[in-house]
Amino acid sequence: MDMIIIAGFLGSGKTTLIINSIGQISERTGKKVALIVNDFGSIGIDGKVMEKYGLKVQELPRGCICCTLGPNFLDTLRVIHDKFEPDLVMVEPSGIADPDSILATMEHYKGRPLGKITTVILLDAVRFPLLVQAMKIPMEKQLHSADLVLLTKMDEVDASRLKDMEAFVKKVIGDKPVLPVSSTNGHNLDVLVDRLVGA
Amino acid sequence: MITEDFAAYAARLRITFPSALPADELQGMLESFMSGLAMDCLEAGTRLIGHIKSLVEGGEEIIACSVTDHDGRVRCRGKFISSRSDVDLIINVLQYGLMKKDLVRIVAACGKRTFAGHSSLSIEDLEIEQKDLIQLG
Repeated sequence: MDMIIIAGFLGSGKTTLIINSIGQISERTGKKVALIVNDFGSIGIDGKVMEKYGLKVQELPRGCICCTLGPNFLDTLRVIHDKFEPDLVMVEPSGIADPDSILATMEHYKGRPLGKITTVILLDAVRFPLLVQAMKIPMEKQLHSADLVLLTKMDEVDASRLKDMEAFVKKVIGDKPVLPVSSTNGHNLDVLVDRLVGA
Repeated sequence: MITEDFAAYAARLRITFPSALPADELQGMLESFMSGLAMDCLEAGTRLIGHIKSLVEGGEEIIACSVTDHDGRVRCRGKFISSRSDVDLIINVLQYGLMKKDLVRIVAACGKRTFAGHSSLSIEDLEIEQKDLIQLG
């Protein structure tokens, strides 16, 4: 079972991206995909929305899997691995999660060995200037753990914004790939699926 | 957690109108409420609107709305398609730079301003075990 962590700040478009791409992953690869959603609030709104769109979701509300819910996350992962045996598990942590801490938590995983773990960090193109102003250091910290960075909501910004973002991101992550995407019009979602699961 | 100055508030709003309201009017009220929350948070001095999310429960429609931008723009997935005399609304307000008590106050004030003029409104805090129901109007 491979694992893909879809992380990024609050409002970066994680839920929408998953809703709009998970079907494509299943259809194009035939892979059995499980989904773990972590919402900070006591009611997991993201999970409820995904379920209403027909996805089977294991929710982990009331906390963050990078800290307080770490043990629950590991238990959930093990149960999913043993009971459903998916080819792939997608994990949507809450928008306040530190992906490095999730990876550190994974070192304590006692279940059967996992395959590849890929960390995807989403960066909101619309709010990028605001995020740089208010959250530069946390944002850089999130980016450091990325295997792939997605510049989301690309349909709502111009090319110069995307260029600025890519320059910012490259300074942090070096040669790792950066991909602008739009969940609204589907731009580059096929490229994303190719990169994630080699469809 | 990636930052420390983070506060969250989840609540359920139960809104009952004297008679069924048309879908367009309900949608307008919902979007006005969500946008109002964002603008009130900014006015209260939030550093960054993290994410304000809502979900209307019950009925066949999926109505999930969200605000992240500082202009208060509301994005909705789905909309009301039929008239209703009551709405059960779950919200999750996630902010950087305000405290939870600020969020509780903002949700109550904005809810009252948006809905309570012509309805019965109660707000249930979903973050705490012992429930205190705030009855407005």
